[in-house]
Amino acid sequence: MTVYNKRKHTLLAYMFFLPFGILLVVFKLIPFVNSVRMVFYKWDVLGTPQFIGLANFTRMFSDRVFLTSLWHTFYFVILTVPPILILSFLIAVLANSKIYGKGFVRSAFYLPYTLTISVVCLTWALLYNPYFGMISKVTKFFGLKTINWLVDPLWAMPAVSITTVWWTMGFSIVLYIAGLQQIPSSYYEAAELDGASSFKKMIFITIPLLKRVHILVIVTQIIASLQIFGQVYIMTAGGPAGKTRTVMQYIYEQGFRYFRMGYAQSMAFIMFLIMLVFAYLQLRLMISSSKEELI
Amino acid sequence: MRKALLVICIAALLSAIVSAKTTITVWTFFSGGEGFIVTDLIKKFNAENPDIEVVEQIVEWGELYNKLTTAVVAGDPPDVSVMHLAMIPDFASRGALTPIDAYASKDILSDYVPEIISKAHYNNKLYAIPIDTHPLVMYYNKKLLKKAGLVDQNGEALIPKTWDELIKYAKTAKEKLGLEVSITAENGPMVGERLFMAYYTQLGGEFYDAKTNSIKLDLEKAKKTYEFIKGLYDSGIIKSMDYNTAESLFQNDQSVFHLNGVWAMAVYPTLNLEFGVTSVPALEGSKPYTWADSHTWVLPKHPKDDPNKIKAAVKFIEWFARNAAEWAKAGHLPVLNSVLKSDAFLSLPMRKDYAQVANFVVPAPSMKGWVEIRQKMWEISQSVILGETSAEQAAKQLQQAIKDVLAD
Amino acid sequence: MSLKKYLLTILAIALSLIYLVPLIWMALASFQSQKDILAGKWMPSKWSTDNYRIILQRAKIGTWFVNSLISSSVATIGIVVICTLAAYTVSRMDFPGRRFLYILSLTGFMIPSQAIAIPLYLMVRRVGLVNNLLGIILPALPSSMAVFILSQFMKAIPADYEEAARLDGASELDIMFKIILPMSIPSIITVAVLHFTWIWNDFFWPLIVMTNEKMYTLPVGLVALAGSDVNIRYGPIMAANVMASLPVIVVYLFMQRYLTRGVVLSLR
Repeated sequence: MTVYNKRKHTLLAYMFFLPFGILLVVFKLIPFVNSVRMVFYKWDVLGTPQFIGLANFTRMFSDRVFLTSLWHTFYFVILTVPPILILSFLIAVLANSKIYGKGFVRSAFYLPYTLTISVVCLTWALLYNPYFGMISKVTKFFGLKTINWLVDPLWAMPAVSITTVWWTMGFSIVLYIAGLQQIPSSYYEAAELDGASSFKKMIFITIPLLKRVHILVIVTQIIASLQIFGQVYIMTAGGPAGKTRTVMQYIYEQGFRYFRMGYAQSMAFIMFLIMLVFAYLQLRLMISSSKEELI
Repeated sequence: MRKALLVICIAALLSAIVSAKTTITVWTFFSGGEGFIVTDLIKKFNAENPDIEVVEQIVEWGELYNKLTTAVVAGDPPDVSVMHLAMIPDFASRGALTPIDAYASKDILSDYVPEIISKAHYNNKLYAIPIDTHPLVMYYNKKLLKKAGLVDQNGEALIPKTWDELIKYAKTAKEKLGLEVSITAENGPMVGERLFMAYYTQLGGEFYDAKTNSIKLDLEKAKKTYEFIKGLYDSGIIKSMDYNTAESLFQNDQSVFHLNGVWAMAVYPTLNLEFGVTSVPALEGSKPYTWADSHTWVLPKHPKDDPNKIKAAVKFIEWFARNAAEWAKAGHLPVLNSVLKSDAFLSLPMRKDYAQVANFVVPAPSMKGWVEIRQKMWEISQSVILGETSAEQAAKQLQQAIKDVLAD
Repeated sequence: MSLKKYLLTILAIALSLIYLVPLIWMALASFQSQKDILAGKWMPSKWSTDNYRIILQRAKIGTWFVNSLISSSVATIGIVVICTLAAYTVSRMDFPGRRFLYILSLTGFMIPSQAIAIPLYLMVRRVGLVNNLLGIILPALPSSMAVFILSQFMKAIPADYEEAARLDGASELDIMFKIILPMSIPSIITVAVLHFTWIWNDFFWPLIVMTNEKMYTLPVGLVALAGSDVNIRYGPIMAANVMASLPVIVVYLFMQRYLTRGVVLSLR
């Protein structure tokens, strides 16, 4: 390339990048810088911001509600990530095995993921109702005790988690199916020649070869679960007695109900730090996945 | 050519008419029975006032105040919004409302029940036009009471006058009818805030202290109130549930008693339901004090005041207040003396059964920070009900919460 | 072998059907009367479309649907255009600063949208985009995920095609539009489907920026409806759910082939 062409090429490259770059700076980077600044202020939106140093953070770590919300958020991660990992793997294996109606099975499990969050939560809230919900009909049929799902402090978070697993698992299933399709059938054929059972094939071939997908599903799901808001907001509003209040819910309450913008942003900043670790892992994982096959 | 001219003329004329109209946007959270009545009243106002067009926008009950604040901040609030009387200090103190002293007519102000209109002021400025008061009352299912044999010598359903009677009847009915629950009430605001304030006041406690404009909590009485609430749930006659479930069970003859605001009267008479309504039970030796709040109309603050719009908006809200007899069909009690005495109000069904409740209302505290304090009350009482917090701890937690919110 | 296939098929179909029970019940309940629902019935005792009539009368469900549709599709198209350009730059062009731009484009990964929701809201408010669909669309456009998926995919396209075209005197635009883009279509579809779903389902952000009932998106509107209207109870809500879901389900059934294939190809 000539010098002129090279310069033109560079100019063109920057021009192509420009729209994305501007939007990124305006809607991500500038708000991020502002968000870091905000944590040092007390501000109720209508008045003038007041500089208070690190007071938001000292307050946060003596705020019992914040600390329990943080725990509830982790609890939700624990309740959702392992089930999604295991169930979506098993279902993907089943949907990818030699069966009739593969398309139907895949659609059935992915379908909930296409529904909007409100539809999912409003429907499940009614299903969970102990007096006229269908789940109590089923548990009664099997002679089990009726659970007051969304009002019982023990069951409220598991109930929200079950709904979330049902709703979002389809996405991980797609990832697993993608991974499964890349395992060369020669591996299985060789194992069959050695007389390996289906179980052994799964333990020694499928699971280890999908290591990268497992990690991808875990990390992506942890990030998604840490941000839980809508399900709790719609199904329990953080209740009973704050037992399902997660950090995002608390940020919403403090920021947009009581208008403590600085305090809410300080909590959001802590969430940012926690998620940064996982986001970094996710990125590393995805970049390295380009160098080798998914499996 | 002439045709074209004609069209232009008509178009110009039309646009002149259209632009002469002042459009007033109104935010409400009224729905169901209440919603229909508001919508009808607005239609009527629009028909009577061709120069003003009132447009209603419905906002979710739980979100109206958040949304209103963000809308004021964004400089894009509605011209008029509904607001609970207890919220006025919160909003007025932040400069989010337009004072309307200069626009309100004197005759309507002197017609108000004094306690109500005084709360519509903040720092001696008028910020709201109240339209009702809506206390917590008790509904009962006559059919179920009769079925359970809870009748007097005339065969009429027995109505509990005291809490002990209520508990006794509820237990009897639950056993005889094999019900899951015999009292239903929503477990957050209804029990934690409204029932709490009613019972606490019946114990002789004073919740809101007008002199210091804050809440002075009597720990002992708060503890007793929480013990009472816990006792209700422990006996199994009432269970923890959300608003929709509580209402559905009562409407479906699956619960004998139901604690709810008078607004349910907008719907119940239209259902195939044999019910009655009365004041909440009282403690032995006390009057049946009960919680109440009021709906008002306010004018959220715009970046620039438009006197024409304010005039039109005040015209609408005063008109609405004067037509409160119509609004009272939704179950609420009027707050204008002239309406309270009017035949239009007194001839509404069952009003004589609960109109007297107005004499025993404990208004929700009109003070800054109430939004947050009441949220704490809902949660503390939930955790008492669930057995996670003892009555004593709960009383202390509430005291601490009030202190924290007021200090912030 | 064949028996095993049948057994597995039965198992898979049975599980799928069980998985769909909540949806099936939602559809059935939307035709039930309040009495049926409170009695916990599976089948309506009398099929009735009353719930649909009530919801169409009382709720702006059509408006909310259109708001959701416009914001999701405009944002998706915008993302595809803007992020494809950026991805092409960082993956197929060679110029000083390429690496810096690549890393810059990925910073969005590190900043979750919730962490900046408050300052972003304040900004959107200042420029007057509260209660405006652009308030949802614009902040969604710079998607690091989209740039990442697209650039990974484009990187994997062998350079041979490009070199051959350059020798024939093709311009940069020719190469982009005639060679790289057509070959990247699976990843573009993946990006489009994923982002459409995410924006369609987002709840936190529209809840904050839309304060006017007319501007609600479908998720926010449905919840507001369920939370506000005492008369619109379970049946009509289920009818609203059905109406909100049907179009998406139909679109998905048409698009599903591309989705799995796109994910497979772009994660490679």
